[in-house]
Amino acid sequence: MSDKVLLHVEGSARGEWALAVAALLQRYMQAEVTFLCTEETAPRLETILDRANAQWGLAWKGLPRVMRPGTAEEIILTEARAQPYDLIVLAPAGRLGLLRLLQGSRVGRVARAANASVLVARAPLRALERILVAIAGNPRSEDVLAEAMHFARAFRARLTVLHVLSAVPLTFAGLSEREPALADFLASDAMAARQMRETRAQLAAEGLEVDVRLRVGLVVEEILAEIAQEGYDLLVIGAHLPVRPLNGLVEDIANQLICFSPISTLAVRPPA
Amino acid sequence: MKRRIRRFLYALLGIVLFILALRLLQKGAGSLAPFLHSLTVGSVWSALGLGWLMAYLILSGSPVAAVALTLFGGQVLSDIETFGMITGSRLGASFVVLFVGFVYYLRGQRRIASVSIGVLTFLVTTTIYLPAMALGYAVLTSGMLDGVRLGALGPLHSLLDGVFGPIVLALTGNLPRGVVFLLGMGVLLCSFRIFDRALPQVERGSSRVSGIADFVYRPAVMFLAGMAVTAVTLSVSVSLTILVPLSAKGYVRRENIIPYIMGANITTFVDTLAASLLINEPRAFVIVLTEILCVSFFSLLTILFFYGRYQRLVEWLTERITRRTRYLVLFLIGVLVVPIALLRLA
Repeated sequence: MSDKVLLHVEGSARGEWALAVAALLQRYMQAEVTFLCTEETAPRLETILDRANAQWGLAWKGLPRVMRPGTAEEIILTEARAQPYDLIVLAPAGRLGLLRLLQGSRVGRVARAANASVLVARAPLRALERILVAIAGNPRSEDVLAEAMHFARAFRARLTVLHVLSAVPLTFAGLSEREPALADFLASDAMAARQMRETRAQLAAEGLEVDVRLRVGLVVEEILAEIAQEGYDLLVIGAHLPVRPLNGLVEDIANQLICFSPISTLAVRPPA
Repeated sequence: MKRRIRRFLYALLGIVLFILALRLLQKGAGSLAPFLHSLTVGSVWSALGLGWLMAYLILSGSPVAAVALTLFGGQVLSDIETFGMITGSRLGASFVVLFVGFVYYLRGQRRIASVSIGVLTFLVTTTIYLPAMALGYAVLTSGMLDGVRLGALGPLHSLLDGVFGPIVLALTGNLPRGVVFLLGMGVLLCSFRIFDRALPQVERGSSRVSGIADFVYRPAVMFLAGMAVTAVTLSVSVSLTILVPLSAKGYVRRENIIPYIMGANITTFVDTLAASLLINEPRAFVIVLTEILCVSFFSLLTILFFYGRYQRLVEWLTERITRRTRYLVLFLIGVLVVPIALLRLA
């Protein structure tokens, strides 16, 4: 669970997004935040944190601060390896065009290589009211759902559990059977259906609002379409884990979502 | 072991009949000139329509591509028209994935494919092959690849002439050319059927690798997989069916299917390339090579640079077409009418 948080601090406008998210985590989840910055940012760290305190209510006095030499990616990954953290919070670097082509995505690289869950801040959040959790319907989805429920409980947020059916039948099924109804799917013995039923029952018993959604199509496109249709504040997904021995052959869908999601995104890594 | 020997013998017999069929077709091709003239097959478009419709009639693309080469060998079609007919054969064959799947389903067979896969296969083939056809036209008319020759095939042709020459001579001496052509067609279809029996049978749900289907692979990986599987099976519809055991329930992830079809669409030319070498006409090889290179060029261009956008477009079109029965019916009418209309284009 997200108790021990590593927050990457930088002086950019995007860096403000991460500060705002960290302030919410402190307030609602009593997270223990460690501030991490590069040597270049270090002289301005106090000023940045002071401003974040005034703007977002971020508490920082007496909390640990770490300064490391290197790029943002390097210092985050080094620090995450040096100390056990539950969650890493950072903002995207905003690299575009040629710079993106040459240097790649900062958040993508951190999410792939970090040994903790990663929360990419994409907006200056003042509240977290609606959470979308996308599940693949496999045993790993249990960890993703657990983390999403943890956030939903802490923020008293409305949780939407989404499963995308990306499979097409090779056998002829008839046009009417092409898109299964949500009710039929929930009644099925598919793992995703069971996970949706259990999450709904569990959170409803705690007085929280839970929606379940089923979409048919390409996974990334359907999740982004769901975000575009509804006003979610946070997307929760499973982090990409190596698939041995096929890892080099398998697409990193989590990375695509982390890079293209227009809202803050939490990539959950199962506990070691 | 016995099964392996039987399969080997089937493969051998299939190849022998394939060569015999090509020889018969080439000898009988001249009789088709008045018939093709009456159909006004005199342009790349009409040849495209002819190949397309013929693939519908015999429910396969490979025999039509082989026939196109024999018509070229018999000086009935020009190089450009042959190129058009081969392209048409692939467009027709991609539609056959849908049609054959449905027919096989009605007959209670396993070799079936869904409406979505059929539409998807047709759209992928059309969107790659049509630009490839334009490029191939430019390549063929410029003579860019005319210098490409594959080794010294003279001894092979002498050997084949020695083996098949007397049979072909006996038949052409006693039968009208038109009958020889029809006989050649029959032997060709028979050779594909026998060759099909040499292939390993695909059993649904019997695979030890069913978990593999849970993942979304990089497009390049599925592209290579489609190429490899189709190089062995020689048929796009068969290689699509082979995807079935990758998923215990007979489902494939839609993220994986498009690059797989693209790869399959390239190596499906393996038998056509072999046919081009067997008809003793050097330019036939250039025609098939041009087709392969142009299709590969547009497939790789798409995979490497526009894959995301292309995938979304094809998925969107497939979804639109299969959303309502009447849309699907309109689509089916369209893909039947278009080749007929092309056939009328002089």
